[in-house]
Amino acid sequence: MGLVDIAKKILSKFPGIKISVLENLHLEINTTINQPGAITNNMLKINPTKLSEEDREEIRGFIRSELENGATLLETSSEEMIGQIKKEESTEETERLLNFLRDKIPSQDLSVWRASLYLRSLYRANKKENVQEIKDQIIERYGDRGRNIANLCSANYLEDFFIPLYDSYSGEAKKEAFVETYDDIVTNHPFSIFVNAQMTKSGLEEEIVSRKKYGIKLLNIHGIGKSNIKIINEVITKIEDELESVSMKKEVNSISVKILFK
Amino acid sequence: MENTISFTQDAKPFILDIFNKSIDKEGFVVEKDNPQKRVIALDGETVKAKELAAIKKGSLVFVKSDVISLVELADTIK
Repeated sequence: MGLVDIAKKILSKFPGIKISVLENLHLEINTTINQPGAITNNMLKINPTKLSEEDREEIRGFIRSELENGATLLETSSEEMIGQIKKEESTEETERLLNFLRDKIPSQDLSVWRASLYLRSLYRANKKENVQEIKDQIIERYGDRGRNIANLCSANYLEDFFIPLYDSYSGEAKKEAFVETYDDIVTNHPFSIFVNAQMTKSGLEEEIVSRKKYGIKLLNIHGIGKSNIKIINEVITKIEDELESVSMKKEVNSISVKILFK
Repeated sequence: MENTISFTQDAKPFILDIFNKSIDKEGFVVEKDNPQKRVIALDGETVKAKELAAIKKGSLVFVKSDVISLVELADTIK
């Protein structure tokens, strides 16, 4: 028996309920409505607690058979969140970012970035009530790596750093070189400094000194573009005496420096 | 969404009962005939009824309502 037949059978027993729409019906099991069933906007709501045992069994059988045929039973607030995630991922901006990530980062990170992009969209839309809860869920599943990705995402490092970084690499080993730096950053984010166009030489030096003050021994410094590479080189030269070791990964238009304080 | 049946938070006992599952005193989803046996969700862990988001066909797949599970579930729903 299909949903329309069930709707007709159950609802016809209750003359007060008007059956007006019977095409493309969507079923919601809802125990909070005050009547056995209702149809609004193609949504058939049924409250099994208001039905006879015979009708309840009809509903149970229908749900079992729909599941067997590939349907998913979905709780309403989760359904709403999935709708929001799909909406966000269909925007031009997010679609472009996900297309960039898909074939470049370790596959287990993709879900974390997707969740983080959704989280960022809530923050940008000023829907902040669930933001901390969602961030906690990411951290609970993926630990510090999840926290770092969520923080990097919310600070726009995907657009402002990772994509330009990938573009700065060339040659056959482009992807491998990118993944190596990417992995280093998402693993060691609190131990990383990203030099951007607004950062001055003295600003970078202050940032390095402050990290050292917090007891950090190993620090990664990343920069893209000639002027940022120049600033990094100059600052490293200036503080050389304070360093135990320096290792550099240079590309034509980017640099990653790992420093170990004495 | 296509090919889904919705249920409200309050309707979870009815939905679980369809598949011979119930909720124990601590709120976990368990086998109705063997309440000592807690159901395992897609992430490999036990699942509380309040964090249950979805049920799919597999042997019977239970999906939690955290954002990572829902992001992954979104791919399977049109």
